[in-house]
Amino acid sequence: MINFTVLLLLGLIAVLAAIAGYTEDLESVIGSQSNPNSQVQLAPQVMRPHRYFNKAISGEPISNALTAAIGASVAYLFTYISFPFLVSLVLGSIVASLFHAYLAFVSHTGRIASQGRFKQPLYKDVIRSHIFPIAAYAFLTVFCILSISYILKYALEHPFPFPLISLILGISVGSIGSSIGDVYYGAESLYQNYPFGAGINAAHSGDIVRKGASGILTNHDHTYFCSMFGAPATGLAFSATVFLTTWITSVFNPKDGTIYGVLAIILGILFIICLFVLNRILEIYAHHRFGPYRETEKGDAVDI
Amino acid sequence: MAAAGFAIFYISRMLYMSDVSRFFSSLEIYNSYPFLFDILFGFLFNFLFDVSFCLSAVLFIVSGSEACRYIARYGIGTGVPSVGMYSVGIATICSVFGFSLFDQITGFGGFLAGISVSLIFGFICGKITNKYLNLNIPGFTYNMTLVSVATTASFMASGIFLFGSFESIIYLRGMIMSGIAALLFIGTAVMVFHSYNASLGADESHDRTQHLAFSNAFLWMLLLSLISAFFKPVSVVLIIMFSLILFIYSFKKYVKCVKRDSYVISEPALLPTEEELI
Amino acid sequence: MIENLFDVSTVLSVSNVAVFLFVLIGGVLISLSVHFIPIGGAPAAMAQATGVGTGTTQLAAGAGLTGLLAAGSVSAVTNNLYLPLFIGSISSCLMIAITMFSANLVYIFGVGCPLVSGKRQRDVITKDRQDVYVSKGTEGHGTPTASFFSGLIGGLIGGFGGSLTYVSILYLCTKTVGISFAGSAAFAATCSIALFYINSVIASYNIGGTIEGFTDQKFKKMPKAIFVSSIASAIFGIITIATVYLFIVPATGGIF
Repeated sequence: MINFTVLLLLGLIAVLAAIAGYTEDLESVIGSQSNPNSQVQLAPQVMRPHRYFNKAISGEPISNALTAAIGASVAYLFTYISFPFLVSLVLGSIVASLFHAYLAFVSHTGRIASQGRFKQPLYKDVIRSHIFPIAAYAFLTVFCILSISYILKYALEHPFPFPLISLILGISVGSIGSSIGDVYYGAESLYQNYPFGAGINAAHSGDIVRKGASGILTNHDHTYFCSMFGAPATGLAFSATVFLTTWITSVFNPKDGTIYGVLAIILGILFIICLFVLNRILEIYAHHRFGPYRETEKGDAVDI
Repeated sequence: MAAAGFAIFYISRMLYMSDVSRFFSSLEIYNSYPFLFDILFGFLFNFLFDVSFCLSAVLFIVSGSEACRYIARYGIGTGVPSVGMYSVGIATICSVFGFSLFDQITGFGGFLAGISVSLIFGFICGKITNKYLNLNIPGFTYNMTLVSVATTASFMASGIFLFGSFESIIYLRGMIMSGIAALLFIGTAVMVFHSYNASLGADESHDRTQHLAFSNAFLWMLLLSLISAFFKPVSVVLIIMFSLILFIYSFKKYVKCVKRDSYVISEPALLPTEEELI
Repeated sequence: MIENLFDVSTVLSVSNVAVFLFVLIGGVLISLSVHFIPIGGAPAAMAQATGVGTGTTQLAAGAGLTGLLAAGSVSAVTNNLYLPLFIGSISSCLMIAITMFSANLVYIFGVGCPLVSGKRQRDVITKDRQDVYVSKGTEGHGTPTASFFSGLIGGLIGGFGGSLTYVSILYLCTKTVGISFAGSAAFAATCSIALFYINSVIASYNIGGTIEGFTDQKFKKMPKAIFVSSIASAIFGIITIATVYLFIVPATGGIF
C-alpha cells in the first residue's frame, strides 16, 4: 500500500535535491571548476589575462564527494554522541565547507602561479571576494546532501552507512552538475562575445569574454548569468534523479511481493522510453528551429 | 621517502611494544609516584604512537603524489584525478585485506601484508594497462606500483591513526559498518592527486608542488585527529597541536613559493595592457 | 579459520567460485558500459564535441553508484536476488537518461545549437542528415538519438555490473558465512565502489577522453579494455573472498 508519510518524505528529498543541485552548479561557476576550467586555464596562453577564479580541485564529482564524506563523517560522529541531528548536520557542513575553501584557495594560487610566464597577475581582491561565496555555496550543498542522506538512512531505512550514502550522492550531484550546468557556463556564459546559436569553434578556444558593460567581469557576473538557466536545470535534473529512483520502489515496494518489484521495473522502463521519445521530439524541433549551419549569420566575435 | 616512512613506523612500533615502560616501572622513583608516571607515560606513548602514524601517513601521501606527478606529466587524456581514483580502488580492498590480518598475525604483519598485496596488484595493473591500452609511458609500471603502494600505506596508516588499535573488530565496526571507510576512500585519493592537479601549468615547479603535498597531508591529519577525538580521547590535544603547527609551517612555505613563482601579486588593478603582454 | 583456507574443498566450494565469477563479470560489464556512454569531455562543455560534457570516469561512476544506492535499498526489503539487479540497472539508466535529456535542453535553449554528430553523415537510427548542422570548427554538439540510445544501453549495463558485484558479495556474506545484514551491506557496498572506480578508469584510459557511443571508431578498441579489466577484476575477486573469510568470520564469529 502507498504510505503517505513516505511520499511526504520523498517530496522533501526532492526539494532538498533541487536546492543541492542549484547551489552545486553555482559553486562550480563561481570558481570555474570542472570542464570550463580548461578555457580559463587556456586564456592567459592566448594573451587574454583575466580576473576569474581558477579553482581546479578536481572534477566536480570527486570534490563534492569529498566534502559530502567529510561532512557526513563529522555529523555521524556528533549524532553518535547524541547531539541533536540538526546541530550535527550543521557542524559537519561547516567543517566540510572550510576544508573545501582551503582546497579552493591552494588550487587557485597554484594554477595562477604556474602561469607566470604568460604574465597572468594574481589578484588579491579576487581571492578575497570569491573564497567566501565558494565556502557558502559548498555549505548549502553539503547540508542538503547530508539531509537527504539522513532521511534516506534513518527514515527510509536504507542499509548503507550514512557517510557512504553521502559519498554516493555527492558523486551523483557532481556528475549531474558538470554534465548540465557546465555547458551553459562554458559554451554560453564565457563566450558572450560570440553570437548565439552555434558551438564554439575550436580555433577560438581561450578567447573568453573578459569585459562587461561596465568594468572587468569576474565570476560573480557569471554566477548571476548562470543562476537564471544553467543552475535551475541542474537542480531539476538532480531532483528528478533522486526522486524517481526512490519513487518507483516506494510506490511499488518490493517488500509487498515480487510482483510489485516487477511493476517498479516496468515503471522505470516507461520513464526511460518517455525520455527517449521526448529527446527525439526535441531533436526534430531543434533541427527545424535552427536549420543548417550558415557561416554568414554566425560570424566572428563582437569586439566589446 | 617511503623508506623513511617505514623506518619511523618500525621504530615507533618497537618502542610501543618493547620493555621500555617495564624498565621505567622498575625504577624506584616510579614506585613512589605510580599515578603520575602512569599518566605521563600513557600520554607520552600515546603521543609517540600517534605521531609516528601521522608522520608515516604524511610521508606516504607525499611519495604517492610524487609518483602521480610523474605519470600525469605525460598527459594521459583523462586528467590527473583518474590516477588517484585508480590507485585508491586498489588501495581500498588491499587495506581491508590488511586490516583483516591484524588478528591472525600481528598488526605490523597485517600492515606489511596489505602493502605486499597492493604491490602485486598495482604491478600487474600497471603492466597490463601500459602494455595493452597503448599508453606507452616510460616508467608507468614502476610509478603505478608506487602510487598504489603509497595509497594503500597511507590509507592503512590513516586508519590506524584514526582508531589507534590493532584489532580487526574495531576496523570492522568502526570503519566499515559506520562508513568512515568512505571518508578514507575519497580523502586519500584527493590528497594523493590534488597537489599536482592544483599546480598544473607551464611554470609548475617541483618544490611548490611538494610543499603543497605536505600542507594538504598535514591538514588531512589535522582533520583525522579531530575526528579521532571521538574514538581515543586520551592524548588527542597534543596530536592536534602537533599537526596544526606542522600544517601552518608547510602552508607558509607554500605561500612563499607562490609569491616567488607568480608574475605579480596585485591589489585591485586593471588587466595588463597589450604592450605589457608582448 | 586460517587453516580452513588451505582446505581445497572449502576454497573451491560452489558459492566461492560463483561469487568470484560474478565479481569478474561485474567488473567486465562496468568496463564495457563506459564504452557505451557518450562522453565529450571538456570540449563538450564548450559545444565542441558530441556527448555529455563531463569526464569519462565520473559520469559512469555517478550513474552506476546511483544504481547501487537503489539496489541496496531493494536488497534490504526482499529476499529475491534478481530484483536488486534489475532495479539497480533501471535506476542507473534513468539517471543517465535524465542527465542526457537535461543537457540537451541546455544545448538547445541555452546555447542554441541542434543535436548533431559530425563523425557520420547520417544518424544510424533515425537516418537524419547530420553534417550540414555541425558548426564550423566543431565535431558536433549535444547528444543525438544514436548516442542517446547508446547511453541508455551503457547505463543499463553499468548499473547491472555494479549491482551484480554488490549482490554477489552480499550473498556470500549473509547466506554462506552467516553475517548480519547491516555489516555485509556496508562491506559489499565499499567493495563495489572500489571495483567500480578501478574498471571505469581502465576503460577511460582505453578511450582517452571522448567517445560517441557504439557508432564511434574508438568503440572497436573495446576488447583490450575488457581483457585488462577482467584480469584486474579477477585479482580483486580473489582478495575480496579472502578478506571475507579472514576478516569477518574470525573477528565476529558470524554474529555481528
